[in-house]
Amino acid sequence: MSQERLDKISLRVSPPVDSVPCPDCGTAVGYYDEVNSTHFVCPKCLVLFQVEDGKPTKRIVEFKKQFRVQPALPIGSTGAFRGRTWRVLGVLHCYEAKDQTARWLEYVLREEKTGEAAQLAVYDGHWTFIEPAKSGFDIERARPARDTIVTDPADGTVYSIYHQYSPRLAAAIGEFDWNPTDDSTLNIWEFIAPPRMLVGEAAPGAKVPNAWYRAEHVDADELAAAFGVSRQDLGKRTGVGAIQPAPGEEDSGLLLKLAVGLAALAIVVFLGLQMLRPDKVVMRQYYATQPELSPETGIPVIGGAGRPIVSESFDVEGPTALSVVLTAEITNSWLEVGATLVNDQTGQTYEFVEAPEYYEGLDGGENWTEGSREVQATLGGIPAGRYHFNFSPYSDGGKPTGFQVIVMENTPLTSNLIVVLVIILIWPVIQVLRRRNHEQQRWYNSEFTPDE
Amino acid sequence: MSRMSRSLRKYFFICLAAIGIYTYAGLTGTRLLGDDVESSDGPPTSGTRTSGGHGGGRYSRGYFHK
Repeated sequence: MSQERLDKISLRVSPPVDSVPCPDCGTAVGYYDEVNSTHFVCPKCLVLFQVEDGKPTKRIVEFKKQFRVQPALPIGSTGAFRGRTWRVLGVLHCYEAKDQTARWLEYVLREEKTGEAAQLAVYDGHWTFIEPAKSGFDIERARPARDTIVTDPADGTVYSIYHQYSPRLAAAIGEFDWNPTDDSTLNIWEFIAPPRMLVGEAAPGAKVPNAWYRAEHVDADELAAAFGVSRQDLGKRTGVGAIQPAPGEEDSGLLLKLAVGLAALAIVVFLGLQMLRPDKVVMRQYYATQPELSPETGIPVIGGAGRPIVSESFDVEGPTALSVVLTAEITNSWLEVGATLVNDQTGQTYEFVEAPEYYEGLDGGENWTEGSREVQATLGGIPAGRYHFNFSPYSDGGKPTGFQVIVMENTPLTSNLIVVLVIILIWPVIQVLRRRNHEQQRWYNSEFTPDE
Repeated sequence: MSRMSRSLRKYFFICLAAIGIYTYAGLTGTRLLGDDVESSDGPPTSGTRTSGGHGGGRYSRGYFHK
């Protein structure tokens, strides 16, 4: 620990009010709660002992040195947290009876003003603030067990069962008003409704919890600020905590409202533009392809390209989007039309190719069709001016084929609306996926994973 | 607005900007994602209404015949 950090902490750690001698090594073990504390751990030899008025000191257990607790929040330090000032009196290093790799620390807190007790638990860098509940709760058991819930009568919140275990004590430091080794006989139920949790404690042999606690996720930044320690001292967070809020959870409702409002605005703009500039037909012409004549013989070339066709000129009030609808008189055939829109004044050209094809038949007593006689091209950002089309048709086998061309200006650009709706919806969709992934990871650590 | 988180504010203003661009594109008839056409300033002859002279199958995409 750096000297700078020690100096910083010492400002928040007041000296103990008194001390008791360790029965093993004689070290003076300081304490802060002279009214309630009965059990103490010697910081030197890690012996847990009990001192009560009028009784001889009772040595209980010596913890293994390898499990010595290095608290991020020092014993005796105080922190103003959620409107109350708490002092750290002790720290328990616990693990699960059936899984010794599942280890966590419990910081025992006492409010300076009222003497009320609370705890801060940290598991994989996820911090939880725990207080005794004012009343008990009824467990609504179900089959399968993963459907077991607790309903909070205060606000109707449903808590789902997340974990059930028995804790064991590896080590402790500080002072306690109970024998912390007694916790090893408890059975614990955890029910979650992130960011909150209900914890039920049952004595040995009891089928239902006889003590209940309310827990809530605590952001490490908030805790660091409260106790005047650095964020790094509170440990690196790994995985997803049992009641860690999902990303964007706090304003997911607002995001949904915003997305709906913005999408509605985009649709209103789309409809408004159509009302402001309604689409209008600027050219409607019918043409028939004719075989190209051989330059040498003047005879039509069979199977060659059709003769080029030049349309009448028409005016465009731009800038605008033009829609060109080409309908060909084809059945079991195709027509390919190269089209060039030419500005009569500037010579600027816009080229595109459309190829309607249409097939139909009877197969197994059922009529079928494939393709379409009608195709459409959209030309965006066409400046105002006078234009004509040059068509270069190429028909199936060079046979004469009729086709109609309709040109409309101010055609609605639906693709633009789709683009802007995608932009509006992409973040809400990403947030939904992130939250779903978060929930999957949360329940990955539980033996009561709910059905998808 | 004061209730919005930073990321939500960013999202809101990006979407507003997108709607602004979208409105401008609507007023000028511009497609936001590409076009069906190839545009060129073209030689003056393009505007003379004498476009002929291309070979057969210039635009052909190799359609098969059923």
